[in-house]
Amino acid sequence: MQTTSPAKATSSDEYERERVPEHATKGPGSFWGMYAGEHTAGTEFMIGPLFVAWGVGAWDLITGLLLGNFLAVLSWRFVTATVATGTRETLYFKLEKICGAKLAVLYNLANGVLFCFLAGAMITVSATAIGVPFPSITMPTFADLYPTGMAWTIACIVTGLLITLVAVRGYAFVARMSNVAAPWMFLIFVACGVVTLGKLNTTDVIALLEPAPGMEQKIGFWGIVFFSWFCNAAMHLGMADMSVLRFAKKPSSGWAAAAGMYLGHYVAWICAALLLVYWVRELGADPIEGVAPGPMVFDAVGWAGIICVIIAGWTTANPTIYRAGLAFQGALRKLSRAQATILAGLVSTAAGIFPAFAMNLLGFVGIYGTILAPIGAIIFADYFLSSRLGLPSEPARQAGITFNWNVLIAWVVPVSIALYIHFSQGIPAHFLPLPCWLACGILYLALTRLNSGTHNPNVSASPPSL
Amino acid sequence: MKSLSKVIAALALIVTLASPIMFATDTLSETAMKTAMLIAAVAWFSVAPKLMSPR
Repeated sequence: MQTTSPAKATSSDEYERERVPEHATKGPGSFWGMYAGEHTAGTEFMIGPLFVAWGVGAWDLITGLLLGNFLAVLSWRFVTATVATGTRETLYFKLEKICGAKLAVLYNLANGVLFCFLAGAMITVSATAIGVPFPSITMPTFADLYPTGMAWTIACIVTGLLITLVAVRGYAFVARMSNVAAPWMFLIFVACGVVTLGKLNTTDVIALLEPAPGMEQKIGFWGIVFFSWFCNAAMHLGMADMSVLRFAKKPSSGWAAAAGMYLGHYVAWICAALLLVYWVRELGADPIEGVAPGPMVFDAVGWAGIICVIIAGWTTANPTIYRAGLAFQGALRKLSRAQATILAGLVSTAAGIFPAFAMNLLGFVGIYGTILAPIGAIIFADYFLSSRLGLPSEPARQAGITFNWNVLIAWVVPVSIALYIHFSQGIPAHFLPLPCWLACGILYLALTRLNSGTHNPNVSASPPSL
Repeated sequence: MKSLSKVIAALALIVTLASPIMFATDTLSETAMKTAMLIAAVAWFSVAPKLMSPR
């Protein structure tokens, strides 16, 4: 999982509401390190073990992640980076010109709330490390939805409030810490995997990753492909990473996402999965219930691991809370930046107390992508297809409207149907972002044709002046 | 001074990776491996922020 660095997208001298000028663009080197760092996050310690808990087969995991991550990289390269370097605008500014300022508020609210839940999961992960020296804290398992006790609640509140305080007062410091910690954190993930192999006295990773006999396989090859493709759907097909990639000199900088995918979402996930494999095989842990990341990493590599879990959770929760604050500020304009960040921090801390978000991360990130990614289809349709189909580009800007109903209907209808299917039929959420994205784009074009098209004198079919 | 910091940073990363490998190949005890990794972590965070700070 990752969050886009807000410093790049939101500070007042970062061209929030204008095109990034040529002199401010950056070469590919700036993006490889950034993606590698941002996708080696605290939540990676959860996702690998959750695959084990879902009974994934070894080859399904290894080949599924290869393909799914490759498709994610292609999405970043050929969709996000192409649009970002073509428009050189943030998602928010581009979206406002398509859907209108008032509808953008709704998107900001949805974005902010989902970011808070994601930050909550990161707080939960960090709290499992802080709890290691305190035996009185009952660690949550994968089966836990509610707080495990007063001590756990206090650990989460302290963690959440500290993270919020830093997010309010010193984001730049945390962003720098994140970059500094990234190479070391990645090696800690690798170390966890190597130590586990040493303890199990084998190098046969395939045999180790095979599920225990009789274990129900809740996820297979295509599940892994779709999960790894769409766990960051909001960032690539959802276009949130336009905020970062608009600074790229060329669209080819989109290939940099490969660093995050194959280091963070391949090596780190598999290493984290091996941690739970060891606990199941040697210490008798129930793979369904799992073990919290803190104790597993401490057992493998000691205090360095605890530092890693705390920093990984902290450095990723911080920008998430910061961005959630910005989204809230966009929606509730009376709030100051600090007040909005505090609001986001409090919501995130409350969410972090409940292990439900972290322990159901595989489902949650699917829902997160299902809700947010379809908005990217509207930008895709506007950028690539509107002019070719004779439809108005950036219709809200051209017509001077603040609420584009076509966008709302095209977004809400597929997402509502998808969420209904997920909750009523039990279809895994990671399968839903793609059909939602396609349906949203097609519906938007159809509605735009139907409701305004070329007949509206206020809306022209000419491409926007950039 | 900066050269020394670079050497320390490189050594810290090498120790972070090498000590688990040495543990896995039975050339380092678990306690020594964990101690080495903690020292490497402290060393990394002592020098890396200065090395990686924006010019």
